[in-house]
Amino acid sequence: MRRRIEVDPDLDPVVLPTSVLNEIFAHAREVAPEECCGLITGGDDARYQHVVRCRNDMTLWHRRDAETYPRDGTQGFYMNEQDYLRADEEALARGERVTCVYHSHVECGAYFSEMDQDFASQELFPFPDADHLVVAVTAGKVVDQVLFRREPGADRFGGRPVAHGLR
Amino acid sequence: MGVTVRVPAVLRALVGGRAELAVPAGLLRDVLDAVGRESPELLSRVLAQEGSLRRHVNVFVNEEDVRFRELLDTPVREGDCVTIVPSIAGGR
Ligand SMILES: [Zn+2]
Repeated sequence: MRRRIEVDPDLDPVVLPTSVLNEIFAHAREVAPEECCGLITGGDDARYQHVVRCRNDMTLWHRRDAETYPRDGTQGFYMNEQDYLRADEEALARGERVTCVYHSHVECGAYFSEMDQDFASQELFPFPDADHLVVAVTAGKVVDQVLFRREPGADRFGGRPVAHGLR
Repeated sequence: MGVTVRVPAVLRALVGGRAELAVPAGLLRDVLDAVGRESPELLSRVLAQEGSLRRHVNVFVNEEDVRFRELLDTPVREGDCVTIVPSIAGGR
């Protein structure tokens, strides 16, 4: 049984460009109380370059089939497939790849939930080498952000503090 | 002419690196049967043991999600494109 993963302050922080973080924070604030979701693309020298917002279809699925999708968009995200396929194609055309999947949690912490790990660890997950950024929104403000990355040689994710940087 | 099945990058190793497979038209279950004859491993990633679509994967016929059509009974015609799309989801 998986348990949620929290930030590990002993791990080195990961630096993300302030412009990238600001764009993700704006997305998270705009769609609250729903969770936001999207992708960061980049290359080897600049891993986190472009933010691509994707639609969260979880409320849509919940309204259509509440048995299969018991949560709505305030408690989960379901990334619109056409949005992410297009973002992936456009990244490849720029010589980039998807390096991070981001989403928000509203009125709770920036942890990597059991459900987050369940999807990120499935063998079909389309971006197995990507990091996962979770931002926490409370009362309309982003209050925390943690980046979850597979620890080398370990079959689990570690939660790293996030620092602002120029690039 | 047949049907084109698009294979997501993460699964291409199961079909010799190919991005697309060509199979005969029919119902989606027939199309997936044909995929399974080319690669039982790929089919096992798409269908659960009892034969339904796995929870983490969706199938589109052209741009349409088969969950809005007739799932495995969705007709796939000559020239159609079937796309296998893993889900990206999560929550709090
Ligand atoms: Zn989450």
